[in-house]
Amino acid sequence: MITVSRLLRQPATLVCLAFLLLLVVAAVAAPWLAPYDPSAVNVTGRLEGPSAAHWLGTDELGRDQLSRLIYGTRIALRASVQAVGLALVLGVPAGLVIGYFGGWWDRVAMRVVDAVSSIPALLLAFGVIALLGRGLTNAMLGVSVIFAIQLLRLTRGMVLAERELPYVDAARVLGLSAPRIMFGQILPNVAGPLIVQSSIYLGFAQLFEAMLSFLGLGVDVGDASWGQMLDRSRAYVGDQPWLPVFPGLAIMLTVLAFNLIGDGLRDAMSGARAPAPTWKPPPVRLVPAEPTRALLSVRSLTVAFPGAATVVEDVSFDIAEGEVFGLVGESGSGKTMTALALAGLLPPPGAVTQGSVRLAGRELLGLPDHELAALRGPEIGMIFQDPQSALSPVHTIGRQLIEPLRTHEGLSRRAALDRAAELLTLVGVPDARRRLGDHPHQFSGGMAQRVVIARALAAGPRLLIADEPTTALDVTVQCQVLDLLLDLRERFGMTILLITHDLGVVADVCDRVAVMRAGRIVEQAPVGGLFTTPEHPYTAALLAASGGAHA
Amino acid sequence: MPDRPLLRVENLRVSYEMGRTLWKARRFDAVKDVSFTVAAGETFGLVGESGSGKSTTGRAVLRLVRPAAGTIEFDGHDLGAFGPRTPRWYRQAVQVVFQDPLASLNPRHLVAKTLTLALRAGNDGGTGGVDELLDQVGLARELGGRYPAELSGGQRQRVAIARALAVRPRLVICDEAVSALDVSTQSQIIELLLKLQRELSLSLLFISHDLAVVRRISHQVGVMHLGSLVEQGGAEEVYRRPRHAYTRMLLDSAPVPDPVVQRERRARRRAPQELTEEEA
Amino acid sequence: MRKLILSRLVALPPMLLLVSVVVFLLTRVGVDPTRQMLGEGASEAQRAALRQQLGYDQPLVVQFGSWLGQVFRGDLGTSFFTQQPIVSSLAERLPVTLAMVAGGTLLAIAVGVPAGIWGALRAGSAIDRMITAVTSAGLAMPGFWLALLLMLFFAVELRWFPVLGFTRFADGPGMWAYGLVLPCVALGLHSAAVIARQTRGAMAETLRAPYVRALRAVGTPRRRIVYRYALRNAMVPILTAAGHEVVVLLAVSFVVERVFAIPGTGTLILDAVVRNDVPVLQGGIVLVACLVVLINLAVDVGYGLLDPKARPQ
Repeated sequence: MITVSRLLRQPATLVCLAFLLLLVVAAVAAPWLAPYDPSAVNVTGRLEGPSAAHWLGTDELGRDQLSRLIYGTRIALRASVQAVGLALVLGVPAGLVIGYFGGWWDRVAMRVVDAVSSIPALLLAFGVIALLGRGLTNAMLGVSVIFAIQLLRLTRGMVLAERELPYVDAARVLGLSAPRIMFGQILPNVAGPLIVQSSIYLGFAQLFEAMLSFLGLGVDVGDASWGQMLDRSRAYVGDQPWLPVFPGLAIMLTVLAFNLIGDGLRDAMSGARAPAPTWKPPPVRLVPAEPTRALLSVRSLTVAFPGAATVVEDVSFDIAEGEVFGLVGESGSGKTMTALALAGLLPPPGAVTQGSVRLAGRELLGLPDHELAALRGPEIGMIFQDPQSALSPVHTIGRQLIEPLRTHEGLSRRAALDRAAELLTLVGVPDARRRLGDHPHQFSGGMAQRVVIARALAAGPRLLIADEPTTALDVTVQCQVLDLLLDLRERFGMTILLITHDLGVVADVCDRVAVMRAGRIVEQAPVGGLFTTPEHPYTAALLAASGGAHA
Repeated sequence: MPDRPLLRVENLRVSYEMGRTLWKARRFDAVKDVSFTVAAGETFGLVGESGSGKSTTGRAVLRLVRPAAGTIEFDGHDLGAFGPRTPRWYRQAVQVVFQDPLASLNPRHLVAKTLTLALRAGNDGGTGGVDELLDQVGLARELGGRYPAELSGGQRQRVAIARALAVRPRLVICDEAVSALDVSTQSQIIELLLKLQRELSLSLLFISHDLAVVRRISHQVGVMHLGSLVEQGGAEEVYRRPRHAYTRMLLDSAPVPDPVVQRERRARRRAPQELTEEEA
Repeated sequence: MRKLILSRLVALPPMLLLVSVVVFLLTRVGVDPTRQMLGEGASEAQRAALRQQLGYDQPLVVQFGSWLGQVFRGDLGTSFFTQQPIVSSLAERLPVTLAMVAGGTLLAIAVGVPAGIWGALRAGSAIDRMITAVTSAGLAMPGFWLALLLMLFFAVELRWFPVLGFTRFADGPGMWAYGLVLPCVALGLHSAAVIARQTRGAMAETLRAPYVRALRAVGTPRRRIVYRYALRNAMVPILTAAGHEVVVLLAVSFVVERVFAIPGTGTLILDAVVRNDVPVLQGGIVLVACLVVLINLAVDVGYGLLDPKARPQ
């Protein structure tokens, strides 16, 4: 499947898999691979360094380190696989059941889980040893219990989220039995993270095995285990400093291999992540443009994602001072990318490849980010579709509202807060003073959008770019927010670029409108004309689909 | 009785747990005292804003939530008498199409597998197969070999509809079934639903926040607000002569794609006073 | 805030009760201490007498009740072997353990958080890749092995630090602290890798968040976005990682003690395991579990401070 083929394209993961394969071979073929008997004592050749006869040297009894290391692989792998295997068998089904049924079972089980997991794995292993006697299997049992509990937690958490999804509801409505929904529908969808976690636990188990053996609680003294080799080396490092090096390296590389495979799996399953924002815009080919009297003048704007499609192609339009200009289109038409390109806020790796964007005669494309930042606020304001996500959830509204006032107007904190309260009142947030101390989650969607509008207006922009400002809102609230926008435009003589998919909204507030489709503008007209005599067939189809015909 | 309604909901109340202290849960009524009927072969449109309780009403009919009070009758059978396990015949009689077409399909299953599971759930000697289902919803047969992520939004929603049809239901609940789609896709899906209704004489409970869409598809309409059904009646009746103030406000708020109408409305809104506040 | 702490404190006693049940069951059920104490040769009558003397002949519930009553009064019993009161031996050894854990944690945060931020801000650059490689190696490195190597290099080879001789606090606080430097470094570096990784991931995530774009849209300078907004939002996952690491350090410190021959809590508990000294083992595990519960409480309160949604309404 896709995941496997992605995995095979990660060199690091392949190297790790090869290394693990090597370990398995070493474990299986130890008697043939090891140059010496791992427990053959040789008092004359004690504590030797690496040499041709003993590649990794000998220990305090003259035993060959390399042979012991190879035999140690057996214990390392067995302990890891046992511990994680048992944990999966115990933890995953329990997590599925608890998460799926919820209720009292869940509450009681989770309290017990909390109690048990407040005992660190190492101490639980101590307890199990006290209970069942010494030995690696017993010791790893304690570790296994903790892994099982953590897998239970992980599974439960994912199931809680998964069972709210409509595909699970659909399965219930079809009458599928609970076990079939849990194991047939939900389990495949939570398996990915569980596999990743198991790989990481295999590494952890290796660390625990080493620690327990190091403490003398693991394998019998005769057997060779990496941790035990380290324990023995403690007393003799003064005489032979090489002693602790190789067993430790073996542990570290094994754990590293398990961890990196886990990481690789996670990356392969989640696909490529969006890169973080860059503050350096890539170079642009400026298109020479004749001067216009428009406030905003866009010429031949083209936005592309390297290696992927061109999302905006050759888009040109003018917006006159004081106008409300609508950019309308369906999803994927490139309207939002156009808006973000104007403000220099394209998500990387997207970038403007060519064009010209002039605001009051000044070219914006190619400006370094700090110069653009100085314009964002006093010249260009922007509001987004989802007001809640446009606000930092852990900061107060007041703190976020004063940002532009402090940045652009250099107001003191107190003066900025006073202005912020005025602004909130202006956009219709009641009890503004007190609400400055509230956090975003204490606001409804409509009120949050008012807050975001207030922030966008704080530095008095000449152009306001509103990207689907009412799409996330209910119709009655949408109506209020649109009224507010028009009201503010009149009061401050603002120019508005409104991005929307809703022709009703266009009809309501816009003076002129451009229709976008597949990255291009197909038609541009004053609102009256567009609705009565659409020129382009796509516009006509859009109008018909929106119920424009019989409104 | 020939004109007995297929679905009768009476005085339905559903409450949710808001949070709990050690001993008792704080509850909140999402649906209070809602009554309506859905006639066989007709569409009942349930319209309202977020938090109005329209989806919860649908989930109660689907038995995904347990009502706190009231009765739901399907074809004369009282759902309250079912006990904890919903009988198989009811699971086959009532199906659902959800809003999010991607999340409502299991992402790890091929389309064909999703449909096979549904067919098997409803299997009592029927003849149809996956291909017939795909034909029925207007999808190419080779799409059965794809994962939901490889389909467009409209195609996914067609698969979801096909899954609902697999058990040959009598009532399909469409919970915001077209709300996540672009307008042109929306009308195609609505056309499909209307076609299926004609061919299979399906009843639909069509839940949506979109007034225009509900008007296009419904015979009867109910308007919900804060958990209550504030108005119901024939679709044209409600839209042309709304009686309840909330319905009027809702109708006035939803912008229609006609600048002339919008300009008039705006003028009317401006006249009495400035903005009104609906929350503190 | 007071409400949050209060609600957590109310949940504490039932939690501790549950923990004590688990510990009790773990260390008492099916354990016959007489075999260890009297040796294999003892007669059944001798064993029965000792069992009666220790109260092991009573029903489990009664044993639990009397044990819990003792614990409640601050009495964890006496060791089977040394006959010393367990509370005083634990009290004697706890400070050095706590010092190591605190030192390790501080080092881990001081190194890990800046490294993570640095990596996230230069995501994909050579520096970021180097930090990622070092943290991956750090994550895989057993803490006690690092301790061993540090000792080998700085104490055995360079002789900057004493090799084994642990100085008690009472005999010289300066030397005491000096002796704890290497253990703290060994403990801290591994956790620093964990915290760096978590910080990098969380920062990269918050820098992609829509509110960062919205803040840029009003011209907020980059430094303010990164340090005031993104970092503050990333604190929640970082706190989770740090809280978890404190617990890990507590356990790993027991192993590191052995490397440096420090007589801390771990050595006490380990001896108890080896000798099957049930009361000491019980007491030790109860103590550690209570510490973990308190650490979790602190983390929970921290969530409340950092995230307004985690505060009770």
